[in-house]
Amino acid sequence: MKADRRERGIRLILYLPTLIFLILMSIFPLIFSIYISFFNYTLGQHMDFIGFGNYGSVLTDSSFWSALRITLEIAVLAIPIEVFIGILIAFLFNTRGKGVEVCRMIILIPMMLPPLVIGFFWKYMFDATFGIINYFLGLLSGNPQIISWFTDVRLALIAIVLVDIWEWTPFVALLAMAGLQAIPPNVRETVRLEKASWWLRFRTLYLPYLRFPLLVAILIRSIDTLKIFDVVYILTGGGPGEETVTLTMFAYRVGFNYFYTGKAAALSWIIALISVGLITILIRVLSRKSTA
Amino acid sequence: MKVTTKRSLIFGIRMAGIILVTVVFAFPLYWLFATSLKTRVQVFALPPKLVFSPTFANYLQVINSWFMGNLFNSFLIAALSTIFSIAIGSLAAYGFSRYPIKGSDNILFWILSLRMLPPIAIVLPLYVLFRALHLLDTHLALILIYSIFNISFTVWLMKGFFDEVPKDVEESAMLDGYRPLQVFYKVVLPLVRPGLVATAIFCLIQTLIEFLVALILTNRVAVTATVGMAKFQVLGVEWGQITAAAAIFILPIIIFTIFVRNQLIRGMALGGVR
Repeated sequence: MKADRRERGIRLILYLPTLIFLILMSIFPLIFSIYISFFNYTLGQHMDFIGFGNYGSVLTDSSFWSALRITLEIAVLAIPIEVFIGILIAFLFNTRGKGVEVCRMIILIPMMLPPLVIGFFWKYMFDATFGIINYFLGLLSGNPQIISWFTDVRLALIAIVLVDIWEWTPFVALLAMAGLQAIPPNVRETVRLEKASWWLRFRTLYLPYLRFPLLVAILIRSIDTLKIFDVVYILTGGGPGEETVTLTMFAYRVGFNYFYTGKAAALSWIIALISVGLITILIRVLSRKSTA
Repeated sequence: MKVTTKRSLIFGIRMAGIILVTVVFAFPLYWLFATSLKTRVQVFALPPKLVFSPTFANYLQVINSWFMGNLFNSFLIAALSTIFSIAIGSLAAYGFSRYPIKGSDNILFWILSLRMLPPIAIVLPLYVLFRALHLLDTHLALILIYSIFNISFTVWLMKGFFDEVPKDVEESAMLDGYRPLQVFYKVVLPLVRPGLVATAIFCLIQTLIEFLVALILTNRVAVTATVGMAKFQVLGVEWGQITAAAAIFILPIIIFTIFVRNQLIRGMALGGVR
Protein backbone atom coordinates (compact mmCIF):
# COMPACT_ATOMS: atom_id res chain seq x y z
CA MET A 1 0.00 0.00 0.00
CA LYS A 2 2.75 2.41 0.99
CA ALA A 3 4.91 1.25 -1.89
CA ASP A 4 1.97 1.87 -4.22
CA ARG A 5 1.65 5.44 -3.13
CA ARG A 6 5.39 5.95 -3.45
CA GLU A 7 5.31 4.57 -6.99
CA ARG A 8 2.57 7.01 -7.87
CA GLY A 9 4.70 9.83 -6.48
CA ILE A 10 7.62 8.79 -8.66
CA ARG A 11 5.44 8.72 -11.74
CA LEU A 12 4.18 12.21 -11.01
CA ILE A 13 7.72 13.55 -10.69
CA LEU A 14 8.88 11.78 -13.85
CA TYR A 15 5.97 12.51 -16.17
CA LEU A 16 4.32 15.69 -14.99
CA PRO A 17 6.86 18.35 -16.05
CA THR A 18 7.08 17.05 -19.62
CA LEU A 19 3.37 16.42 -20.04
CA ILE A 20 2.34 19.79 -18.64
CA PHE A 21 4.85 21.60 -20.81
CA LEU A 22 3.94 19.78 -24.00
CA ILE A 23 0.20 20.12 -23.45
CA LEU A 24 0.53 23.84 -22.71
CA MET A 25 2.86 24.47 -25.62
CA SER A 26 1.35 22.22 -28.29
CA ILE A 27 -2.15 20.88 -27.66
CA PHE A 28 -3.44 24.16 -26.33
CA PRO A 29 -2.03 26.23 -29.25
CA LEU A 30 -3.28 23.72 -31.79
CA ILE A 31 -6.79 23.95 -30.38
CA PHE A 32 -6.50 27.73 -30.30
CA SER A 33 -5.44 27.57 -33.92
CA ILE A 34 -8.59 25.61 -34.89
CA TYR A 35 -10.57 28.34 -33.15
CA ILE A 36 -8.78 31.11 -35.08
CA SER A 37 -9.27 29.24 -38.33
CA PHE A 38 -13.05 29.79 -38.12
CA PHE A 39 -12.71 33.56 -38.11
CA ASN A 40 -12.00 36.14 -40.71
CA TYR A 41 -9.12 37.59 -38.77
CA THR A 42 -6.35 39.89 -39.83
CA LEU A 43 -3.87 40.29 -36.99
CA GLY A 44 -4.68 43.33 -34.85
CA GLN A 45 -8.22 43.71 -36.18
CA HIS A 46 -11.44 42.26 -34.84
CA MET A 47 -12.60 38.73 -35.60
CA ASP A 48 -15.65 37.75 -37.70
CA PHE A 49 -16.94 34.20 -37.46
CA ILE A 50 -17.08 32.67 -40.94
CA GLY A 51 -17.29 28.93 -40.24
CA PHE A 52 -15.29 26.98 -42.75
CA GLY A 53 -14.79 30.06 -44.93
CA ASN A 54 -11.01 30.09 -44.47
CA TYR A 55 -10.72 26.45 -45.46
CA GLY A 56 -12.76 27.20 -48.56
CA SER A 57 -10.60 30.21 -49.33
CA VAL A 58 -7.43 28.07 -49.05
CA LEU A 59 -8.81 25.26 -51.19
CA THR A 60 -9.98 27.63 -53.92
CA ASP A 61 -6.71 29.61 -53.90
CA SER A 62 -4.67 28.70 -56.98
CA SER A 63 -1.50 29.71 -55.08
CA PHE A 64 -2.18 26.93 -52.58
CA TRP A 65 -2.43 24.32 -55.32
CA SER A 66 0.67 25.69 -57.00
CA ALA A 67 2.58 25.49 -53.70
CA LEU A 68 1.35 21.95 -53.13
CA ARG A 69 2.40 20.99 -56.66
CA ILE A 70 5.90 22.49 -56.27
CA THR A 71 6.36 20.72 -52.94
CA LEU A 72 5.29 17.41 -54.47
CA GLU A 73 7.52 17.99 -57.49
CA ILE A 74 10.55 18.54 -55.25
CA ALA A 75 9.72 15.35 -53.34
CA VAL A 76 9.04 13.26 -56.44
CA LEU A 77 12.20 14.44 -58.21
CA ALA A 78 14.61 14.44 -55.28
CA ILE A 79 13.67 11.44 -53.14
CA PRO A 80 14.03 8.66 -55.77
CA ILE A 81 17.43 10.05 -56.82
CA GLU A 82 18.49 10.27 -53.18
CA VAL A 83 17.43 6.66 -52.65
CA PHE A 84 19.22 5.45 -55.78
CA ILE A 85 22.50 7.28 -55.13
CA GLY A 86 22.15 6.54 -51.42
CA ILE A 87 22.08 2.78 -52.10
CA LEU A 88 25.11 3.04 -54.40
CA ILE A 89 27.04 4.99 -51.76
CA ALA A 90 26.04 2.48 -49.09
CA PHE A 91 27.45 -0.40 -51.15
CA LEU A 92 30.56 1.58 -51.97
CA PHE A 93 31.25 2.45 -48.34
CA ASN A 94 30.34 -1.01 -47.03
CA THR A 95 33.95 -1.87 -46.25
CA ARG A 96 36.42 -1.34 -43.46
CA GLY A 97 39.41 0.95 -43.22
CA LYS A 98 40.39 4.14 -41.48
CA GLY A 99 40.32 6.20 -44.67
CA VAL A 100 36.82 4.94 -45.42
CA GLU A 101 35.70 6.02 -41.92
CA VAL A 102 37.04 9.52 -42.51
CA CYS A 103 35.33 9.76 -45.91
CA ARG A 104 32.06 8.53 -44.39
CA MET A 105 32.32 11.20 -41.71
CA ILE A 106 32.92 13.91 -44.31
CA ILE A 107 29.91 13.04 -46.46
CA LEU A 108 27.65 12.96 -43.38
CA ILE A 109 28.36 16.61 -42.56
CA PRO A 110 25.94 18.29 -45.04
CA MET A 111 22.78 16.95 -43.41
CA MET A 112 23.74 18.50 -40.07
CA LEU A 113 24.37 22.00 -41.40
CA PRO A 114 21.91 24.89 -41.23
CA PRO A 115 19.79 24.62 -44.41
CA LEU A 116 19.84 28.40 -44.58
CA VAL A 117 23.65 28.46 -44.85
CA ILE A 118 23.48 25.68 -47.43
CA GLY A 119 21.10 27.84 -49.45
CA PHE A 120 23.57 30.70 -49.30
CA PHE A 121 26.68 29.02 -50.55
CA TRP A 122 24.84 27.10 -53.24
CA LYS A 123 23.35 30.36 -54.40
CA TYR A 124 26.87 31.66 -54.82
CA MET A 125 27.89 28.50 -56.66
CA PHE A 126 24.87 28.81 -58.97
CA ASP A 127 25.68 32.45 -59.79
CA ALA A 128 25.30 32.98 -63.53
CA THR A 129 28.57 34.86 -64.06
CA PHE A 130 30.87 34.03 -61.15
CA GLY A 131 29.43 30.69 -60.09
CA ILE A 132 31.64 27.61 -60.04
CA ILE A 133 28.83 25.43 -61.39
CA ASN A 134 28.53 27.29 -64.67
CA TYR A 135 32.35 27.30 -64.81
CA PHE A 136 32.48 23.50 -64.52
CA LEU A 137 29.64 23.14 -67.04
CA GLY A 138 31.66 25.37 -69.35
CA LEU A 139 34.72 23.16 -68.93
CA LEU A 140 32.68 20.04 -69.65
CA SER A 141 30.90 21.43 -72.69
CA GLY A 142 33.91 23.23 -74.12
CA ASN A 143 32.37 26.68 -74.35
CA PRO A 144 31.56 29.13 -71.55
CA GLN A 145 28.12 28.74 -69.96
CA ILE A 146 26.15 31.66 -68.53
CA ILE A 147 23.09 29.76 -67.35
CA SER A 148 20.80 31.97 -65.32
CA TRP A 149 19.49 29.34 -62.90
CA PHE A 150 16.87 31.33 -61.09
CA THR A 151 15.01 33.11 -63.87
CA ASP A 152 13.57 29.94 -65.41
CA VAL A 153 11.06 27.88 -63.43
CA ARG A 154 12.39 24.55 -64.52
CA LEU A 155 16.02 25.43 -63.86
CA ALA A 156 15.11 26.94 -60.48
CA LEU A 157 13.34 23.71 -59.57
CA ILE A 158 16.34 21.66 -60.72
CA ALA A 159 18.63 23.84 -58.61
CA ILE A 160 16.47 23.27 -55.52
CA VAL A 161 16.39 19.52 -56.20
CA LEU A 162 20.18 19.39 -56.70
CA VAL A 163 20.78 21.08 -53.37
CA ASP A 164 18.29 18.74 -51.69
CA ILE A 165 20.13 15.77 -53.17
CA TRP A 166 23.47 17.07 -51.91
CA GLU A 167 21.97 17.69 -48.49
CA TRP A 168 20.04 14.47 -47.97
CA THR A 169 21.52 11.64 -50.06
CA PRO A 170 24.06 10.95 -47.26
CA PHE A 171 21.13 10.51 -44.88
CA VAL A 172 19.60 7.81 -47.08
CA ALA A 173 23.06 6.26 -47.50
CA LEU A 174 23.52 6.23 -43.73
CA LEU A 175 20.31 4.25 -43.23
CA ALA A 176 21.11 1.91 -46.11
CA MET A 177 24.60 1.26 -44.66
CA ALA A 178 22.99 0.28 -41.36
CA GLY A 179 20.77 -2.13 -43.30
CA LEU A 180 23.75 -3.70 -45.04
CA GLN A 181 25.65 -4.06 -41.77
CA ALA A 182 22.74 -6.00 -40.32
CA ILE A 183 23.32 -8.84 -42.83
CA PRO A 184 24.81 -11.81 -40.95
CA PRO A 185 28.25 -12.75 -42.35
CA ASN A 186 27.26 -16.39 -42.97
CA VAL A 187 24.29 -15.33 -45.13
CA ARG A 188 26.65 -13.20 -47.16
CA GLU A 189 29.10 -16.08 -47.58
CA THR A 190 26.51 -18.59 -48.81
CA VAL A 191 25.32 -16.24 -51.48
CA ARG A 192 28.85 -15.37 -52.51
CA LEU A 193 29.56 -19.07 -53.10
CA GLU A 194 26.49 -19.51 -55.29
CA LYS A 195 27.48 -17.75 -58.45
CA ALA A 196 24.26 -15.78 -58.66
CA SER A 197 23.83 -12.87 -61.02
CA TRP A 198 24.29 -9.38 -59.61
CA TRP A 199 20.58 -8.55 -59.83
CA LEU A 200 19.49 -11.82 -58.28
CA ARG A 201 21.99 -11.35 -55.47
CA PHE A 202 20.71 -7.81 -54.88
CA ARG A 203 17.09 -8.97 -54.79
CA THR A 204 17.45 -12.05 -52.65
CA LEU A 205 20.29 -11.09 -50.33
CA TYR A 206 20.41 -7.33 -49.96
CA LEU A 207 16.91 -6.08 -50.65
CA PRO A 208 15.27 -7.79 -47.66
CA TYR A 209 17.72 -5.97 -45.39
CA LEU A 210 17.39 -2.66 -47.25
CA ARG A 211 13.63 -2.55 -47.51
CA PHE A 212 12.96 -1.39 -43.96
CA PRO A 213 15.65 1.32 -43.69
CA LEU A 214 14.75 2.65 -47.12
CA LEU A 215 11.06 2.79 -46.23
CA VAL A 216 11.94 4.76 -43.11
CA ALA A 217 14.23 7.03 -45.13
CA ILE A 218 11.57 7.72 -47.75
CA LEU A 219 8.93 8.48 -45.12
CA ILE A 220 11.19 10.80 -43.16
CA ARG A 221 12.29 12.57 -46.33
CA SER A 222 8.64 13.01 -47.39
CA ILE A 223 7.69 14.49 -44.03
CA ASP A 224 10.73 16.78 -44.19
CA THR A 225 9.93 17.96 -47.70
CA LEU A 226 6.57 19.25 -46.44
CA LYS A 227 8.60 21.55 -44.20
CA ILE A 228 11.08 22.69 -46.85
CA PHE A 229 11.57 26.43 -46.48
CA ASP A 230 15.07 27.70 -45.68
CA VAL A 231 16.92 26.55 -48.80
CA VAL A 232 14.19 27.77 -51.13
CA TYR A 233 13.84 31.06 -49.22
CA ILE A 234 17.48 31.90 -49.92
CA LEU A 235 18.02 30.15 -53.24
CA THR A 236 15.02 31.31 -55.26
CA GLY A 237 13.01 33.37 -52.77
CA GLY A 238 10.00 31.56 -54.23
CA GLY A 239 10.76 32.95 -57.68
CA PRO A 240 10.72 33.41 -60.56
CA GLY A 241 7.40 35.09 -59.80
CA GLU A 242 5.78 32.76 -57.30
CA GLU A 243 6.62 29.63 -59.22
CA THR A 244 8.76 27.93 -56.56
CA VAL A 245 6.79 28.90 -53.45
CA THR A 246 6.55 25.74 -51.34
CA LEU A 247 3.74 24.81 -48.98
CA THR A 248 5.46 26.06 -45.84
CA MET A 249 6.58 29.21 -47.62
CA PHE A 250 3.02 29.87 -48.79
CA ALA A 251 1.73 29.50 -45.23
CA TYR A 252 4.49 31.82 -44.01
CA ARG A 253 3.52 34.48 -46.54
CA VAL A 254 -0.21 34.26 -45.81
CA GLY A 255 0.39 34.41 -42.07
CA PHE A 256 3.34 36.74 -41.70
CA ASN A 257 3.58 38.87 -44.83
CA TYR A 258 -0.12 39.52 -45.35
CA PHE A 259 -1.16 38.72 -41.77
CA TYR A 260 -4.31 36.83 -42.82
CA THR A 261 -4.16 35.03 -39.51
CA GLY A 262 -7.43 33.15 -39.89
CA LYS A 263 -6.59 31.82 -43.31
CA ALA A 264 -3.05 30.95 -42.22
CA ALA A 265 -4.46 28.96 -39.30
CA ALA A 266 -6.68 26.98 -41.65
CA LEU A 267 -3.71 26.45 -43.94
CA SER A 268 -1.41 25.32 -41.16
CA TRP A 269 -4.07 22.81 -40.09
CA ILE A 270 -4.25 21.45 -43.61
CA ILE A 271 -0.43 21.07 -43.65
CA ALA A 272 -0.52 19.51 -40.19
CA LEU A 273 -3.13 16.94 -41.30
CA ILE A 274 -1.07 15.91 -44.33
CA SER A 275 1.98 15.52 -42.08
CA VAL A 276 0.10 13.62 -39.40
CA GLY A 277 -1.00 11.15 -42.08
CA LEU A 278 2.60 10.51 -43.09
CA ILE A 279 3.85 10.53 -39.48
CA THR A 280 1.24 7.92 -38.53
CA ILE A 281 2.40 5.65 -41.33
CA LEU A 282 6.03 6.13 -40.23
CA ILE A 283 5.25 5.33 -36.62
CA ARG A 284 3.26 2.23 -37.64
CA VAL A 285 6.23 1.05 -39.67
CA LEU A 286 8.67 1.72 -36.83
CA SER A 287 6.59 0.05 -34.15
CA ARG A 288 5.78 -3.00 -36.26
CA LYS A 289 9.50 -3.54 -36.69
CA SER A 290 10.30 -3.13 -33.01
CA THR A 291 7.65 -5.62 -31.89
CA ALA A 292 8.39 -8.13 -34.67
CA MET B 1 46.82 -15.31 -59.48
CA LYS B 2 43.89 -14.35 -61.63
CA VAL B 3 41.58 -14.12 -58.64
CA THR B 4 43.94 -11.80 -56.75
CA THR B 5 44.31 -9.39 -59.66
CA LYS B 6 40.56 -9.31 -60.03
CA ARG B 7 40.18 -8.69 -56.30
CA SER B 8 42.68 -5.84 -56.26
CA LEU B 9 41.07 -4.33 -59.34
CA ILE B 10 37.70 -4.30 -57.57
CA PHE B 11 39.37 -2.85 -54.50
CA GLY B 12 40.94 -0.11 -56.61
CA ILE B 13 37.64 0.76 -58.29
CA ARG B 14 35.90 0.85 -54.93
CA MET B 15 38.50 3.19 -53.42
CA ALA B 16 38.36 5.45 -56.47
CA GLY B 17 34.58 5.54 -56.12
CA ILE B 18 34.76 6.38 -52.43
CA ILE B 19 37.20 9.21 -53.09
CA LEU B 20 35.09 10.54 -55.96
CA VAL B 21 31.91 10.56 -53.85
CA THR B 22 33.72 12.22 -50.97
CA VAL B 23 35.19 14.92 -53.22
CA VAL B 24 31.80 15.64 -54.80
CA PHE B 25 30.10 15.98 -51.41
CA ALA B 26 32.96 17.88 -49.78
CA PHE B 27 33.60 20.31 -52.63
CA PRO B 28 30.80 22.79 -51.75
CA LEU B 29 32.18 22.94 -48.20
CA TYR B 30 35.70 23.47 -49.48
CA TRP B 31 34.38 26.20 -51.74
CA LEU B 32 32.59 27.85 -48.81
CA PHE B 33 35.76 27.99 -46.71
CA ALA B 34 37.90 28.95 -49.71
CA THR B 35 35.63 31.85 -50.65
CA SER B 36 35.68 33.12 -47.08
CA LEU B 37 39.48 33.48 -47.35
CA LYS B 38 39.42 35.44 -50.60
CA THR B 39 39.65 39.12 -51.33
CA ARG B 40 36.76 40.75 -53.13
CA VAL B 41 38.75 40.71 -56.37
CA GLN B 42 39.46 36.99 -56.01
CA VAL B 43 35.81 36.24 -55.24
CA PHE B 44 34.78 37.71 -58.57
CA ALA B 45 37.74 36.39 -60.53
CA LEU B 46 37.05 34.75 -63.88
CA PRO B 47 37.78 31.90 -64.20
CA PRO B 48 37.15 31.11 -60.48
CA LYS B 49 40.40 30.77 -58.54
CA LEU B 50 40.77 27.30 -57.06
CA VAL B 51 44.18 28.15 -55.56
CA PHE B 52 45.03 31.55 -54.09
CA SER B 53 46.80 33.23 -51.17
CA PRO B 54 44.33 33.48 -48.27
CA THR B 55 43.34 36.59 -46.37
CA PHE B 56 41.47 36.89 -43.07
CA ALA B 57 40.00 40.28 -43.89
CA ASN B 58 36.45 38.89 -44.24
CA TYR B 59 36.67 37.24 -40.84
CA LEU B 60 37.85 40.47 -39.21
CA GLN B 61 34.90 42.29 -40.73
CA VAL B 62 32.40 39.68 -39.55
CA ILE B 63 33.89 39.49 -36.06
CA ASN B 64 33.44 43.25 -35.68
CA SER B 65 29.87 43.21 -36.99
CA TRP B 66 26.40 42.77 -35.52
CA PHE B 67 26.48 39.13 -36.60
CA MET B 68 28.45 38.12 -33.50
CA GLY B 69 25.54 39.30 -31.36
CA ASN B 70 23.21 37.09 -33.37
CA LEU B 71 25.58 34.19 -32.94
CA PHE B 72 25.64 34.80 -29.19
CA ASN B 73 21.83 34.80 -29.13
CA SER B 74 21.75 31.50 -31.00
CA PHE B 75 24.15 29.77 -28.64
CA LEU B 76 22.44 31.20 -25.56
CA ILE B 77 18.99 30.13 -26.72
CA ALA B 78 20.21 26.70 -27.84
CA ALA B 79 22.06 26.09 -24.56
CA LEU B 80 19.17 27.12 -22.33
CA SER B 81 16.60 25.18 -24.33
CA THR B 82 18.85 22.11 -24.33
CA ILE B 83 19.44 22.24 -20.56
CA PHE B 84 15.72 22.65 -19.88
CA SER B 85 14.75 19.90 -22.32
CA ILE B 86 17.31 17.42 -21.07
CA ALA B 87 16.34 18.11 -17.47
CA ILE B 88 12.65 17.40 -17.81
CA GLY B 89 12.76 15.21 -20.93
CA SER B 90 15.10 12.62 -19.46
CA LEU B 91 12.86 12.32 -16.40
CA ALA B 92 9.94 11.45 -18.65
CA ALA B 93 12.10 9.14 -20.75
CA TYR B 94 13.06 7.26 -17.58
CA GLY B 95 9.39 7.05 -16.71
CA PHE B 96 8.48 5.60 -20.08
CA SER B 97 11.33 3.12 -19.77
CA ARG B 98 10.80 1.94 -16.18
CA TYR B 99 7.49 3.20 -14.82
CA PRO B 100 5.01 2.93 -17.70
CA ILE B 101 1.59 4.46 -17.20
CA LYS B 102 -1.77 3.74 -18.79
CA GLY B 103 -1.53 4.50 -22.49
CA SER B 104 2.25 4.96 -22.38
CA ASP B 105 2.68 3.85 -25.96
CA ASN B 106 0.12 6.28 -27.31
CA ILE B 107 1.57 9.15 -25.31
CA LEU B 108 5.03 8.26 -26.58
CA PHE B 109 3.83 8.32 -30.18
CA TRP B 110 2.09 11.61 -29.60
CA ILE B 111 5.35 13.05 -28.26
CA LEU B 112 7.28 11.69 -31.22
CA SER B 113 4.82 13.11 -33.72
CA LEU B 114 5.21 16.56 -32.13
CA ARG B 115 8.84 16.55 -33.11
CA MET B 116 8.02 15.78 -36.73
CA LEU B 117 5.14 18.22 -37.07
CA PRO B 118 5.84 21.18 -39.39
CA PRO B 119 6.87 24.09 -37.14
CA ILE B 120 4.62 26.42 -39.14
CA ALA B 121 1.57 24.58 -37.73
CA ILE B 122 2.53 25.32 -34.13
CA VAL B 123 4.19 28.68 -34.52
CA LEU B 124 1.14 30.54 -35.86
CA PRO B 125 -1.10 30.20 -32.78
CA LEU B 126 1.92 30.70 -30.51
CA TYR B 127 2.71 33.91 -32.36
CA VAL B 128 -0.78 35.23 -31.59
CA LEU B 129 -0.47 34.15 -27.95
CA PHE B 130 3.04 35.53 -27.47
CA ARG B 131 1.98 38.78 -29.07
CA ALA B 132 -0.78 39.14 -26.48
CA LEU B 133 1.73 38.32 -23.71
CA HIS B 134 4.33 40.77 -25.12
CA LEU B 135 6.80 37.94 -25.56
CA LEU B 136 7.58 38.53 -29.23
CA ASP B 137 11.25 39.11 -30.00
CA THR B 138 12.39 37.69 -26.65
CA HIS B 139 14.86 34.90 -25.98
CA LEU B 140 12.26 33.24 -23.76
CA ALA B 141 9.77 32.84 -26.60
CA LEU B 142 12.31 31.00 -28.74
CA ILE B 143 13.56 28.89 -25.84
CA LEU B 144 9.97 27.79 -25.11
CA ILE B 145 9.16 26.85 -28.72
CA TYR B 146 12.44 25.07 -29.35
CA SER B 147 11.91 23.13 -26.15
CA ILE B 148 8.77 21.53 -27.64
CA PHE B 149 10.92 19.90 -30.30
CA ASN B 150 13.89 19.27 -28.01
CA ILE B 151 11.86 17.67 -25.22
CA SER B 152 10.06 15.37 -27.61
CA PHE B 153 13.42 14.46 -29.16
CA THR B 154 15.00 13.90 -25.72
CA VAL B 155 12.16 11.68 -24.51
CA TRP B 156 12.33 9.50 -27.59
CA LEU B 157 16.11 9.19 -27.73
CA MET B 158 16.78 8.86 -24.00
CA LYS B 159 14.10 6.20 -23.61
CA GLY B 160 16.22 4.08 -25.96
CA PHE B 161 19.32 4.63 -23.85
CA PHE B 162 17.48 3.87 -20.59
CA ASP B 163 16.05 0.70 -22.12
CA GLU B 164 19.59 -0.54 -22.65
CA VAL B 165 20.49 -0.30 -18.94
CA PRO B 166 20.09 -3.77 -17.42
CA LYS B 167 17.28 -3.88 -14.88
CA ASP B 168 19.30 -5.79 -12.25
CA VAL B 169 21.62 -2.81 -11.83
CA GLU B 170 18.69 -0.87 -10.45
CA GLU B 171 17.29 -3.77 -8.49
CA SER B 172 20.54 -4.30 -6.62
CA ALA B 173 20.77 -0.56 -5.95
CA MET B 174 17.25 -0.72 -4.48
CA LEU B 175 18.35 -3.60 -2.29
CA ASP B 176 21.24 -1.42 -1.10
CA GLY B 177 18.63 0.95 0.24
CA TYR B 178 18.55 3.57 -2.51
CA ARG B 179 15.22 5.28 -3.04
CA PRO B 180 13.87 5.18 -6.62
CA LEU B 181 14.86 8.75 -7.45
CA GLN B 182 18.31 8.18 -5.96
CA VAL B 183 18.64 5.14 -8.19
CA PHE B 184 17.85 7.41 -11.12
CA TYR B 185 20.34 10.15 -10.23
CA LYS B 186 23.14 8.13 -8.68
CA VAL B 187 23.07 4.86 -10.58
CA VAL B 188 21.23 5.11 -13.91
CA LEU B 189 22.16 8.62 -15.06
CA PRO B 190 25.92 8.03 -14.81
CA LEU B 191 25.47 4.85 -16.87
CA VAL B 192 23.72 6.67 -19.71
CA ARG B 193 26.04 9.67 -19.67
CA PRO B 194 27.30 9.08 -23.24
CA GLY B 195 23.69 8.95 -24.45
CA LEU B 196 22.88 12.07 -22.48
CA VAL B 197 25.79 13.95 -24.04
CA ALA B 198 24.83 12.80 -27.55
CA THR B 199 21.22 13.84 -26.99
CA ALA B 200 22.29 17.25 -25.73
CA ILE B 201 24.55 17.79 -28.75
CA PHE B 202 21.72 16.87 -31.13
CA CYS B 203 19.42 19.32 -29.35
CA LEU B 204 22.07 22.03 -29.62
CA ILE B 205 22.62 21.46 -33.34
CA GLN B 206 18.93 21.29 -34.15
CA THR B 207 18.25 24.50 -32.28
CA LEU B 208 21.20 26.35 -33.77
CA ILE B 209 20.23 25.59 -37.36
CA GLU B 210 16.52 26.48 -37.07
CA PHE B 211 15.40 29.40 -39.20
CA LEU B 212 11.63 29.65 -39.78
CA VAL B 213 10.52 29.98 -36.15
CA ALA B 214 13.26 32.50 -35.41
CA LEU B 215 12.39 34.48 -38.53
CA ILE B 216 8.77 34.73 -37.43
CA LEU B 217 9.31 35.45 -33.75
CA THR B 218 12.29 37.79 -33.73
CA ASN B 219 12.80 41.27 -34.96
CA ARG B 220 15.70 43.10 -33.28
CA VAL B 221 16.55 41.87 -29.81
CA ALA B 222 16.54 38.08 -30.00
CA VAL B 223 17.66 37.71 -33.63
CA THR B 224 19.52 34.44 -34.10
CA ALA B 225 22.45 33.57 -36.35
CA THR B 226 20.30 32.08 -39.11
CA VAL B 227 18.03 35.14 -39.24
CA GLY B 228 21.10 37.37 -39.09
CA MET B 229 22.63 35.49 -42.00
CA ALA B 230 19.45 35.88 -44.01
CA LYS B 231 19.88 39.64 -43.59
CA PHE B 232 23.14 39.39 -45.50
CA GLN B 233 20.93 39.05 -48.55
CA VAL B 234 20.41 42.79 -48.33
CA LEU B 235 24.16 43.21 -48.75
CA GLY B 236 23.69 41.59 -52.13
CA VAL B 237 26.83 39.93 -53.35
CA GLU B 238 29.33 40.37 -50.52
CA TRP B 239 30.13 36.67 -50.82
CA GLY B 240 33.43 36.95 -48.93
CA GLN B 241 31.69 38.26 -45.82
CA ILE B 242 28.71 35.96 -46.19
CA THR B 243 30.88 32.87 -46.43
CA ALA B 244 33.09 34.03 -43.54
CA ALA B 245 30.01 34.44 -41.36
CA ALA B 246 28.78 31.05 -42.51
CA ALA B 247 32.15 29.47 -41.72
CA ILE B 248 32.22 30.92 -38.18
CA PHE B 249 28.66 29.67 -37.69
CA ILE B 250 29.08 26.13 -39.01
CA LEU B 251 32.50 25.31 -37.60
CA PRO B 252 31.14 24.49 -34.12
CA ILE B 253 28.31 22.54 -35.74
CA ILE B 254 30.79 20.43 -37.71
CA ILE B 255 32.75 19.75 -34.52
CA PHE B 256 29.54 18.76 -32.71
CA THR B 257 28.67 16.45 -35.60
CA ILE B 258 32.03 14.71 -35.35
CA PHE B 259 31.37 14.13 -31.64
CA VAL B 260 28.06 12.36 -32.31
CA ARG B 261 29.13 10.57 -35.50
CA ASN B 262 28.37 7.14 -34.06
CA GLN B 263 24.91 8.16 -32.92
CA LEU B 264 23.80 9.80 -36.18
CA ILE B 265 21.32 7.08 -37.09
CA ARG B 266 19.71 7.15 -33.69
CA GLY B 267 19.51 10.90 -33.72
CA MET B 268 18.45 11.50 -37.30
CA ALA B 269 16.20 8.50 -37.90
CA LEU B 270 14.50 8.34 -34.49
CA GLY B 271 16.47 5.26 -33.56
CA GLY B 272 14.31 3.63 -36.18
CA VAL B 273 16.89 1.39 -37.74
CA ARG B 274 19.00 -0.61 -35.38
